[in-house]
Amino acid sequence: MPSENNNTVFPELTFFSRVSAAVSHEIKNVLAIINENAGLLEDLVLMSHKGFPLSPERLDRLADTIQTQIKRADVIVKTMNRFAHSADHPVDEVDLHAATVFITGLCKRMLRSKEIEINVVPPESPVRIQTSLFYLQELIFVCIESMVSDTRHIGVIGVEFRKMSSGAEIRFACESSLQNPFFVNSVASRANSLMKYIEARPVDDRDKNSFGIQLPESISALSKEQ
Amino acid sequence: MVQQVLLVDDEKEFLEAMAERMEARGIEVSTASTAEEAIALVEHNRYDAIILDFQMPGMDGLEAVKIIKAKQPESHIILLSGYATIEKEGEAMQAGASDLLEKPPDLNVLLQLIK
Repeated sequence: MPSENNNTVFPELTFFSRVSAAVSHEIKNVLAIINENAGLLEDLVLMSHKGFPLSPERLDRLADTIQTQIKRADVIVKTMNRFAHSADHPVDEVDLHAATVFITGLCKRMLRSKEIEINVVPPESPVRIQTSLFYLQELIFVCIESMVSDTRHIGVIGVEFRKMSSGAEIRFACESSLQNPFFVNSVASRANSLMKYIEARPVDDRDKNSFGIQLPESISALSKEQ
Repeated sequence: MVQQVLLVDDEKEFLEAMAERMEARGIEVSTASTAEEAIALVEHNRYDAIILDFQMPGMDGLEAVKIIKAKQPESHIILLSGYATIEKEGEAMQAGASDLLEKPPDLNVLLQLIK
């Protein structure tokens, strides 16, 4: 059986399955909160039948908790839907900052479990390229995964973008040394395949605390299809 | 004798509602929102049952089970998981948990397991 973290049997599906698992886990947590609060409501009603007074403020708070969780679930489902639709077109115009914010949002729980914070710095002006949104998202995900797999505590990771004459660069940096996804056994093979698909290339390390990915301004079609 | 239960989950709204429902059924409940906090409580207290979330920020539930079991081998630990697969159940039992329940748990089932 492939492990949950490294689906070596279906590498193409790993990203989709990991995100689906994280999202469904999040929904289960929301359902657990709704379930307990609905149960509490039921308990209060039962107690009122036995003569205990019902507090309107208490009921208000319970209703508010349930409504908040329903809104939370709605955001989770909308996010999942947006993610699913990111595979609709082989090539799209992609705003690098927006795509990175979206994918780091999907990784929130994974990052929280390792107490890692990601600070995605908005560029002064939008950095847009023509690429495969789905594979770019996966590449960012793989980069995050390689950092999460680090056993050391790495704290805050900064992500910055810059326009270049022939495309753009994404740079990941932190105060301590970062695990470069192209050298981490569990993800290196997938990271390199994705780089090939979207014609990206790793940027030579200026130091061990950062690594970058250069992306072309546009790709006409996915390289794997050529 | 009043049963003492330690409930551990990083979702505050779940923790509070579940604790209140258990207390309404005569159980004394202590709560913790991280595994580290739970381990600190176990150092100084004895519980009839410890209910732990499988996935939490920092140390996860599985790791916490191993540490708690090493400190209190007789402790009765129930893990709660978003997805209670057979694979996860095996891992939980190997770590020393008595049971693995899927979220949202049925309170009556949970109470049966505690007793």
